[in-house]
Amino acid sequence: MAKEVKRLNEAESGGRWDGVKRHWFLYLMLLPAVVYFIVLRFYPMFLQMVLAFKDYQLMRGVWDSPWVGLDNFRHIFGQADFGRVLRNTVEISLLRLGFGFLPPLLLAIFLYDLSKGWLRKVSQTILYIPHFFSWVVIYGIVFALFSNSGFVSLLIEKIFGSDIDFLMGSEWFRPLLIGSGIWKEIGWSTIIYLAALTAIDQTLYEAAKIDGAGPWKRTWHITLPGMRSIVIFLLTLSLGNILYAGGEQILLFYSPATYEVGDVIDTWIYRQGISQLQYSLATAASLFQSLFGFLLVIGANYVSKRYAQTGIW
Amino acid sequence: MALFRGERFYQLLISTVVILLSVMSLYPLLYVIAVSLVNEQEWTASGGFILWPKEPTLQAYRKIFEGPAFVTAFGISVLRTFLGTALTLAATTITAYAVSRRSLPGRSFLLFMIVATILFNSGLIPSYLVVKDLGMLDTIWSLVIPGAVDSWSVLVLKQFFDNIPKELEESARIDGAGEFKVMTRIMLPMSVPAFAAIGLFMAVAHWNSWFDAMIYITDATRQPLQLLIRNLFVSVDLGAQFNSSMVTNPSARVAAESLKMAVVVIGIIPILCIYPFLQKHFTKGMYVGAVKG
Repeated sequence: MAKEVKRLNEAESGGRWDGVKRHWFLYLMLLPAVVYFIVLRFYPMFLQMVLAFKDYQLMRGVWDSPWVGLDNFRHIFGQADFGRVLRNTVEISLLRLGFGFLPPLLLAIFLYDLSKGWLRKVSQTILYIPHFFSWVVIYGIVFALFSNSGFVSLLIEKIFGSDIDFLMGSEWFRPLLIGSGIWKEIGWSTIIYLAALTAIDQTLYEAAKIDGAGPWKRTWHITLPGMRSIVIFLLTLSLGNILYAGGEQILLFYSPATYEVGDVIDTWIYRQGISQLQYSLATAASLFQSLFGFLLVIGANYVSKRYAQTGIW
Repeated sequence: MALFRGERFYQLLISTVVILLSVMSLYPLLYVIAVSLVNEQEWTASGGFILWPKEPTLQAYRKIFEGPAFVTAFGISVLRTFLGTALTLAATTITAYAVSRRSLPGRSFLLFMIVATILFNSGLIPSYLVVKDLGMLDTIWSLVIPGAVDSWSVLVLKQFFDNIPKELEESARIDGAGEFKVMTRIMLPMSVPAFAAIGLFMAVAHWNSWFDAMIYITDATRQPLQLLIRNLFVSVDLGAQFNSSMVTNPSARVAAESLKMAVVVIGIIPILCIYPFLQKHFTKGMYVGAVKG
């Protein structure tokens, strides 16, 4: 029957133009999206490429402002300030990856291996909740626990007699930032691993048990190999996003006192652009970030497809 | 050694870890609620070390709701959530439907464009300038239009449409159904679960969003709730703002910390209300869609 319909369609359509006419209804449906993509996505992309090479002057607007070649980039990369920003971005991304990658993976294995179904269900319900909190709420919770009158600060003061200034000092900035990020996502991140684990043939475990393999051996020889490709996929994906260190969260957590360890590209762009109206500098930095990020994601996808047979597209 | 390798030890170990992590996920939430229910007297007396309030009071919530700013912000958040979700869901659905039609000329070019918007960012300032030039600053539109078509959701929905058995559509076409009929009678009714899932996740994203408002909304009376919460945390004299200086009895006053925690709780409550529905839709597909959300 499928073939019949296809032949029918082909008979009806003469050339390409006929196909377009026949689908006028679909094109009408696409119209809002096309307008949206042109005005709110592609035009800003174009604007980004123009503005990065101009000296934007508020009174003259984008098009009448003078071209300055690579001056904006020279200015940005000449600043010691921006070197620190780049270093912070990469360091925070890598720290998030280093400390944040293993916990959800292990938790997923534990949830998968739990023999008590009710415990798995109850704990999953609880563990997924923080993912749905906004970063503002996460900051509120961190404040509740770690401000000078917070639960953890007071507990430490009671036990050790010394008080630690968690929120103001720069030495605790990164642990709190990365720790609260892990706290938010640890449960939710297990979902993708658990989905991969459902593909494992259960008879493998039965056979391994008969052969005398204990739980650790089964994890090492069956569960972990079953997660291999999803692990490679996620690792490459996060390496592709290395220039995006979580600016929205940092914007809430940092203060001038912690710029030294917390200022990243996204927050730098925000301050230069929105607070100081340095539109050209901020745009040049974001073009650098977009271009470099684009290449990284393309590269990461290539690596992932090659070694894990799964890509983003 | 034998004990360490045993099944029962392993189960005991992983149960302990899972229970411990669950407690760590839940306890901060309970603590935030506890602090929000304390009056100033108890806060001062305990030095801030609260396990659970001795005399729970809703004063912090009452004081917050009495202020005009809060009710407005709450209303704006509700509005943006409903308006934004409805708009994005509608736009995303018709777009995904059109690009899921294999016979559509130009289809692969359109798909390429959609993927391009995911891979390449347009930058903060260019987006800001466009929103500004469209006259949307300080209006609700600046919060719902910039995300009106969600590229990831288009791809997820297209995938869903692709998986609907072709035979259904073909038999309808043989019976003489046109494009509009195929869409409204077959494809959309079959996709209700996908709409529910995507809609719920979009609603959460809208409710939680604050950064767009920080850039696009400068008028303090038009801020959504999450931005107001953020600003309350930054402000210094919160206690003086909300406690009338006429009220001196410390059991009728509320510490700044309790006020802060009360607004956090209010920011969380709608999420907790729809959480049981959200939980139904945790699948791999939604997860991948949410990675870059």
